[in-house]
Amino acid sequence: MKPFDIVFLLLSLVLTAGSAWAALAPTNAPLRLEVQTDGGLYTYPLDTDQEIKAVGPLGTTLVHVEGRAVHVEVSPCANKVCLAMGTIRQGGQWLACLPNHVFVRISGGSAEASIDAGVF
Amino acid sequence: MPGSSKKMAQARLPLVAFFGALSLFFATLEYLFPTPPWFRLGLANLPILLALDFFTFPELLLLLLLKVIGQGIVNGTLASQAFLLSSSGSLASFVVMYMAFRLIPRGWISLIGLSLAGSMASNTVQVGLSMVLIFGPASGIIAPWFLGLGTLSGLGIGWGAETLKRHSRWLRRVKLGQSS
Repeated sequence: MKPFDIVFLLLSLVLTAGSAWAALAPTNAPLRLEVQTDGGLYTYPLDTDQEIKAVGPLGTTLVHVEGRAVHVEVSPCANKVCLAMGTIRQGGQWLACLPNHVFVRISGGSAEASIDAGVF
Repeated sequence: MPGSSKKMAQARLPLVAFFGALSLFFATLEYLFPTPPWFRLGLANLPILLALDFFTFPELLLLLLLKVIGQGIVNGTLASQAFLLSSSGSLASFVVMYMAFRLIPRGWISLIGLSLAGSMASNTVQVGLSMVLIFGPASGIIAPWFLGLGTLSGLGIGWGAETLKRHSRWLRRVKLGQSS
């Protein structure tokens, strides 16, 4: 490795860490569910059980919220990666259906909330 | 002598086309690797990294165009928003790699550094565009994954290109202009 190889490697690592900090930094805000579609960004409370219809270019992606856990129930896309992504519960976790332009993300949450209760 | 340099440029055109074809081949090879659907390793960048050393700027631009269009055809994204993202990423990566190659003295940087710089530029531009133009600010959540995986793949591809550059006799012949 030559000097500028190391410079660019360090720069890449700093950029990755910085973006991780910006995207995942815990805040004290209560947990909210953010659903981004072509129509805009919609925010929902996480503690209300509901079915959210996110409309995209391919059709409607059905997002299921139950017991503070969120998963994609039905998606019109071909590869169904969003369904395979499973269930999310904590701040910073996300689900995405790129073909249908749907991003689902849990925002907020304190640092304590992200640590498992069983950790001593 | 403009006449002879034009003749030389014409003689090298098939070589540019060959490197373009190599890019297309590497874009196809990517399917062998299990990656998330929104992430590409950037193997198609390898021929551009190798070509920096012996193609002129217009030849490199032509190679970039072949790579971008070829990749769009291979991935089936030529007429989609994903194409806008990937072509902008490719252009940003090329500009940064070319500038680093020209501005930083040879002994101070290898293809590993150039590949890392290109990968960083490409991924930053793609995340930025997806946040501003296509998917909205919430898609920023994907940035650390994109940049982290990009660093790993940039490192790997740079290492591969550097190894090829050092050991390939074919590349040495191409560089000396004995093969076309």
